Amino acid sequence: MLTTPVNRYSKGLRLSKLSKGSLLAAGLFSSMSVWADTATDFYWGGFVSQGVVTTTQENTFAGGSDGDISTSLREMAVYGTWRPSSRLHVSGQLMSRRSGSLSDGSPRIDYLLADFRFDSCECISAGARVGRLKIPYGFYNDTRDVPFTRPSIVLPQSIYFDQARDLMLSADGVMGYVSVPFEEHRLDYSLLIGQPEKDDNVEYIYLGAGLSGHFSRALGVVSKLDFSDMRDRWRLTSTLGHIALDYRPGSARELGLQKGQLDIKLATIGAEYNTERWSLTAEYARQQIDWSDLGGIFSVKPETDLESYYLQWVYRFTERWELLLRYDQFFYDRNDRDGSELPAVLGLPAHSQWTKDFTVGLGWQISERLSLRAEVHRLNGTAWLPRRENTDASKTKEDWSLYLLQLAYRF
Amino acid sequence: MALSFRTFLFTCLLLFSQLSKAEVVIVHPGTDTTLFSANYLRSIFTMRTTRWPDQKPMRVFVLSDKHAVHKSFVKQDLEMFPYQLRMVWDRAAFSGTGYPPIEVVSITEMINQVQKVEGAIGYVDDASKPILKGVEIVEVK
Repeated sequence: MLTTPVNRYSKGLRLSKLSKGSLLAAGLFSSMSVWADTATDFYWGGFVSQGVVTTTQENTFAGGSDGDISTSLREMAVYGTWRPSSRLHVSGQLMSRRSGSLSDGSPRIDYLLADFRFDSCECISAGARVGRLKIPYGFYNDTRDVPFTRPSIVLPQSIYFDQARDLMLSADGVMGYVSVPFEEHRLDYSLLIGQPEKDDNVEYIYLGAGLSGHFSRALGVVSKLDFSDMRDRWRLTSTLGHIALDYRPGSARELGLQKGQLDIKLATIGAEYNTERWSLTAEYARQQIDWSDLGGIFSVKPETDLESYYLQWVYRFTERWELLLRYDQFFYDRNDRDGSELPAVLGLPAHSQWTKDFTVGLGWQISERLSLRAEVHRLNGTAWLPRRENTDASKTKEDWSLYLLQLAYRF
Repeated sequence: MALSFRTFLFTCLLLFSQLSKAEVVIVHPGTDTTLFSANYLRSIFTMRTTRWPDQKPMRVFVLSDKHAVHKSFVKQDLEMFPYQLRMVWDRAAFSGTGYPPIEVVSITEMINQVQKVEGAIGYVDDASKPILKGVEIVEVK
């Protein structure tokens, strides 16, 4: 008989032996007796990762620049799920992420939610989640900071734009979801309404600098529709989102901005095909950002239409090794792909308007808990180079490379 | 000629029996398994279904990703690949939208857990059929 060493990804604790203890849980939910049954399980897990980063030019990414090796790329998280009933689970995850001067590593609640399932037989299943929820967006957004669910250390920045990540991470609100099986296929739909996070990074990316004024309120609606083969042989995904940010000018009234609303509309479509040895993935996204309500400096160009896409091939040449090839392209304004218009007005280099990224990566699963990744990005353009780390845009170079190495451990 | 045809037929049958050799799905005694189909099995092991038709909570037990019996179960019975299941579980756990199955280290522990835990479902290899005790075998239609 085959046995394997005690090597568990997730720890499931069954508390049914403590039936007296689970009476307490049952008591808590006695007012909702429909939610209470004999399941009282607890699951937990997490990971820690450490990366090293460097670049070839003065273009700084995650603290790494021009041959200077940065170790300021560290991610860790721990999650716990309590399942007091088969219709309800309560989950939370604490996450810390350090990445150059974009994220300082202070722990934040990534999600903390209650998930109610109305039905879950072989037919339609549906439910609702309340609390801090991960924003479902494209194939990777809701687990973008987890090394084990990503195909690379740095996700395709065209779509999973790390500068604007804080706005796309989680939202406090409600979500409804439904899954409908059709013979050999499955349709999944979810709708989220909530308040996304809006911090300094969000101000930096959408206002161009840290100002005395702030976004006082953010409200977002995100709808995701997936259609897949029952065996996940292929998956199609689409996301539509609308986020509105209310701006209140500060005492300095920088850039002549007025009180008003910044509007972000986004749409993505994606497709994935999986075989035993390889996976082919492509996503295309558009994002319209409208500053017209804020006036001031934005009157020059009150709107932009972002366009991005990538094509990615992951080849699992052995059970433990995989190769990644990806081409990723981003245009800050699809009507000004060569950066001949806006940069001239704002005094930015033309190459700040696009990024073309060719990535080669290698992943090695050292053991069931430990994995190592290395990747090289050959880049043209600096559109997604963090402005916070590269305050003087004139010093950035058009052609550059990014090298990363990351070790990740799960428990 | 007739002989070679018979040999051919025999080889085909042998090959077929090898190909169709699947793992054995086991459940806790008394579980309502009236709905069992291949899609239902996939829905259970991808953690999309959380309750049995009689409303009892489901508890899913699996062997580690690298275990030969797990690999065979995922490929033959679920018609998926272990990396896909791992991804489904990780995405659910790390986004708070679900929870992973409970991992056991051996066939013996698998049988013990499924025997003990109400609503449990798991699998063993065909060769372990004789040592099954206190569990029910499910016929996947």
